[in-house]
Amino acid sequence: MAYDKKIGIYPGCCFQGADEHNYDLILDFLDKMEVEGVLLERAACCGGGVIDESNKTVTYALNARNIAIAEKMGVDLYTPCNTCYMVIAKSKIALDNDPEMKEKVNKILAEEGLEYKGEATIYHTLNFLRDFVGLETYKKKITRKLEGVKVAPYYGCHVLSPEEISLDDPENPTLLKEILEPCGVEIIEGYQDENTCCGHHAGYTNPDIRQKLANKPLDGAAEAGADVLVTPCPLCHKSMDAVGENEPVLQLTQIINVACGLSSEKAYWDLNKKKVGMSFSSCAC
Amino acid sequence: MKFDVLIVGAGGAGLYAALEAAKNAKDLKVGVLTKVYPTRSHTGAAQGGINAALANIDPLDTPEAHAFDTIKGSDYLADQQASKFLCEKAPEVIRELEHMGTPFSRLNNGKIAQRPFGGASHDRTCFSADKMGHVMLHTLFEQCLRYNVEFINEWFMLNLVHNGERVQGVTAYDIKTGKTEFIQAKSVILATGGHARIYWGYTSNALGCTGDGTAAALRAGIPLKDMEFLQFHPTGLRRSGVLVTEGARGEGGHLLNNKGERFMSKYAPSKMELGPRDLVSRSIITEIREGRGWKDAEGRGYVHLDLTHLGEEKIKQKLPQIRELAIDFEGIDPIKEPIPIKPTAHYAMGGIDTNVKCETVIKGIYAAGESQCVNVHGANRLGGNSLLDIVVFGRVAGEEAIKFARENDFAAGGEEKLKDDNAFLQSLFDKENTESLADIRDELGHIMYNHFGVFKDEKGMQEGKEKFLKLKERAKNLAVQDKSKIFNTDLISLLEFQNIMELAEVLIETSLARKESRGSFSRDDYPTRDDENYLYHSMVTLENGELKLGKSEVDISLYEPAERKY
Amino acid sequence: MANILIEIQRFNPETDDKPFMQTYEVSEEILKGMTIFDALAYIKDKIDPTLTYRAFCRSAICGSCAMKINERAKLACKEQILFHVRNGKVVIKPLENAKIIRDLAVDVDEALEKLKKLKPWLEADPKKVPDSIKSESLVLPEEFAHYDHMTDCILCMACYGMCSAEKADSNYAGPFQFTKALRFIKDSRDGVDIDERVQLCVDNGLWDCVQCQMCLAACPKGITPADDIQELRRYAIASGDDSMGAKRATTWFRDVFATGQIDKFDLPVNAKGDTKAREEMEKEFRERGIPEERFRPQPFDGIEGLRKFIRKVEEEVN
Repeated sequence: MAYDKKIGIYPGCCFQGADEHNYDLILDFLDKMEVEGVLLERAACCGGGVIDESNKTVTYALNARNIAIAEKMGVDLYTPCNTCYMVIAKSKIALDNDPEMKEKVNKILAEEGLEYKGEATIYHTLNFLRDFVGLETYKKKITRKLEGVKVAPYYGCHVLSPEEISLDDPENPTLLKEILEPCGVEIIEGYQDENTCCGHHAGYTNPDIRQKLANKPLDGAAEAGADVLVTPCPLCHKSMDAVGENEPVLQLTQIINVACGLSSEKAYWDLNKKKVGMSFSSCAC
Repeated sequence: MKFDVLIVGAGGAGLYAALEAAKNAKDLKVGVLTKVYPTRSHTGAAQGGINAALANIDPLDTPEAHAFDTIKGSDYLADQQASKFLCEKAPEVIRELEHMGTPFSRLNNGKIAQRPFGGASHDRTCFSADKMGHVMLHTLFEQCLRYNVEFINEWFMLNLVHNGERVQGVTAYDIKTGKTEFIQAKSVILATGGHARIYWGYTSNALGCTGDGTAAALRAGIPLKDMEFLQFHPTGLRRSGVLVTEGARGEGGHLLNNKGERFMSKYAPSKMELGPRDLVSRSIITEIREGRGWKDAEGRGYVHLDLTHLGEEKIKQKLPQIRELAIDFEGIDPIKEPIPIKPTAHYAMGGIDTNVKCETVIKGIYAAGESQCVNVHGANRLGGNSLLDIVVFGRVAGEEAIKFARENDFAAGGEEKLKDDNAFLQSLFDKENTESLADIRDELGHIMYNHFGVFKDEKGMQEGKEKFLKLKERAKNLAVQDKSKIFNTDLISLLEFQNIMELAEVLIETSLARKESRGSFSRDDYPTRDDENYLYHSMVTLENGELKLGKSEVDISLYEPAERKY
Repeated sequence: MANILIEIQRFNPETDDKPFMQTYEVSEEILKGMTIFDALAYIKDKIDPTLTYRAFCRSAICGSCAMKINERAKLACKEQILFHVRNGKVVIKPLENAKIIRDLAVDVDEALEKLKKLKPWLEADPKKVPDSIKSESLVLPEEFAHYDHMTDCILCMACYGMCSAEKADSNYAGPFQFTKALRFIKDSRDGVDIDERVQLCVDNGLWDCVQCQMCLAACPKGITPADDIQELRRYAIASGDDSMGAKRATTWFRDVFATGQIDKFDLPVNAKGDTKAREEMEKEFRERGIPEERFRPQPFDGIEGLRKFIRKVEEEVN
């Protein structure tokens, strides 16, 4: 299908290999939004904040390259992952503010026929819906209400901090609510530890920390009576699903796709280790 | 608790004394009692720099030149040998600080950078961007951690205890728990800072710069010296009193009254906004007094410092810090609106009378820093000399207190004083409170600023004294309203207020007694300096509940007092 | 004008079982131009004298007044209260990760004790620092630039009061502690062996930071502890640290170099020798019908271009 609007899909590690279902989710999501997704071929890992521990300049350069690939294809860059978004956005700021580094990186990029211009916008699902698709347009794509479902919205850290890349007001973020409410769900606000980090990145440095942190917002959500915690970030989702005890968790696109008519099966709700406890069949409406 | 040396106050002077002991007196038990955590001390707010004749920029600079500048700047009230001592010690103390890790700004050759400052004949102010006090304080604190200095944090000193000749210790209050203790000590160093908070609501000083040690010394019968000399800075932000540096005017900012006039044309037609500090202060106050200023919600007058005509580009480039200050602390963007400012009480030259060895009249009690008055700054302190003063004399006090502690035993007695202090504190809890501390405090600020501020004359000061005495009566009706024992900041505020009331009264009496203008002390009824009659240090001692005024000689052995022209 | 609700967390161990929220109403007109500190002082002076908080300089340099405003740590004296009204109210709470003494005043001793463990002081290197006071050490402006910004820290502990690792493990040193450690590693005058300083960091939780970025967001001076921690980790790896985190970092870079992506399948083995985890992954993947070539990332067509790119960046860009 070819839609008028095109966006570059940046394939983070959560959207490949054994996690390819997450990529399907994105394709379905973009289809529902009537946006054509084009894969940014030969894009590489954003660094994840871990390559910085070897060489921070390589992180900036890798992302200059990723953005340059999008720019060459004439599209903006969309990543559905919080950490990729934060690292790429921070890299962009670093490159735009350091003309010397930018020049040196571009010299090397030229050998692959690429150039980082700094023109492409970096999108994450949240600002993609708000700014690229438009919330009014988005609402029109919803074909069924998931009534009776109580959702605890969870932003994760990297879309709100640090301030220079923040996608919403850290003191009062409302985007998730604005996106989820039209899906018919009931929003549980102000639950305990809704701002607490999921600890995903401690998975390979201190797993105990990840265990403790991941369970805090989940426990808070459970205590507040939420059926499911919903996060836009696949890393938060992965960790909370893996080590979480008292509450199931889904990705934002998994809710949106179902609200737009996909079955919960096709939205991969069953792949959760911690079962969601409800399902929706395909809707022809 | 019991200490060989007890240091009260953990700013630059207190920490330097503590380090002296930690490095050279490991055999002694030394403690630093402080009402705020050390790095909160007001030393950290000092921005401009610290003076020393290092001759890194100007090879012709010498400690003698520095001393002369200091003495001249003091309007010849400084004790000249003491000022000379200060300036001679400066280079070694700066280097000592540097060896400790202080991050000075540097020249291209790697040496410590120096810059010009008011009243200096050579560029000698060492600096670290605009945060010299902050980095110095933190470096000293770091070294204190290294040498395991014992801190008694968030304890408030109540009183000095001595037997008329020799110190016995101090009584103090633990802010966290509300308990009190008599702390026995062989020697005590008071390094409790200045008292510009007398001008409540009109000062750049931190909330706790209330001269607690100075007031305690007064109550203990120790003389205070030169208390009438308190320095004002012409441009402090209306609300917070945070100083707006001269740079704003230097880059073309205009001072405007409520008619939109650049009023400096009346007072300094050629220099305009860049006239001398005291002249600018007086011009602003005149405009306010004559109804051409504005008043804020608490009735404090101010004028405008207008940068709007400079344009967004220039402001963002040349004055970004000032813009940030205005936005953060006043909620005003100087690109769009003028900045509200007023003259601000800034530094106390006067304080606890000591000699150049930091000794007071009571054996074993020393003072250093802004709380002390040797007097090295005389009637007016040069910028960059305060940070220097506190470390030089902090070290001296440390050395002397150590020596004393080694050569003397503990003095017996003193615990009884705690009973009096406990009873006093209890009365503050038991009494019925019929006044508002905030209102009375604000009133003190108004009285001091309007009658004993930039402008003084006999009539105004007598009026002010009357108002003050009435206020003193009202203040007797103050009690704590927060009855908790845990972290009772209401009580601490009340105790601090009592200290500034005591010191305000001293400033009132000494101001009335000095019938001349000298340095930062200016009187409209006596606008000139009168060396013949007033070249002396004013002394005040509390005897039998009354303030007794006296004089002491000024050391002018090096330079003949001359007219102070720049 | 409207009334603004100021909701403040109160707690006095003398009288309260646990913390509770208390709401004060103040008109917008009064609050205009006030900082959060001004508003607290107003409440204490005019409404409730028992409200307890720390404040001193009112000019963002002493670090006394760090507290949470709408769940985000800030300096109360530096924030205009009206900028922080959300849904008609401002919610003020003490910093996290520290025992509450009363209301908004928290214990800072624990954080300072942990700071002390990292030797946050200069021990003069005799090769660089003269032993006489006749001269200062020579430090070029470029050398100073390496740590200048880190000396802006006012020990306000806003970062510590938001730290996620701290929340999970109170043995974790803390963000500002690590920035201090790096400040001295970068100071050319320091004589403590860099490996020793790095080891102290490792021993006190260097690898526990979860990189949540809260510290960066909280710092009123724009200091970046999370980035400083990454730099300290670089030092650690360079000096031979072989902890799980170090192995993760090395594996990660190697994978990306080889294929453009990280190899999550082998990561448990490479980072912590955990073969069981990999077996479980394999079992799950086979159950889901995932073909074996998708267990691990495959180098994309044109991977040589990426490898050359990375090599050149390492060599030529800094």
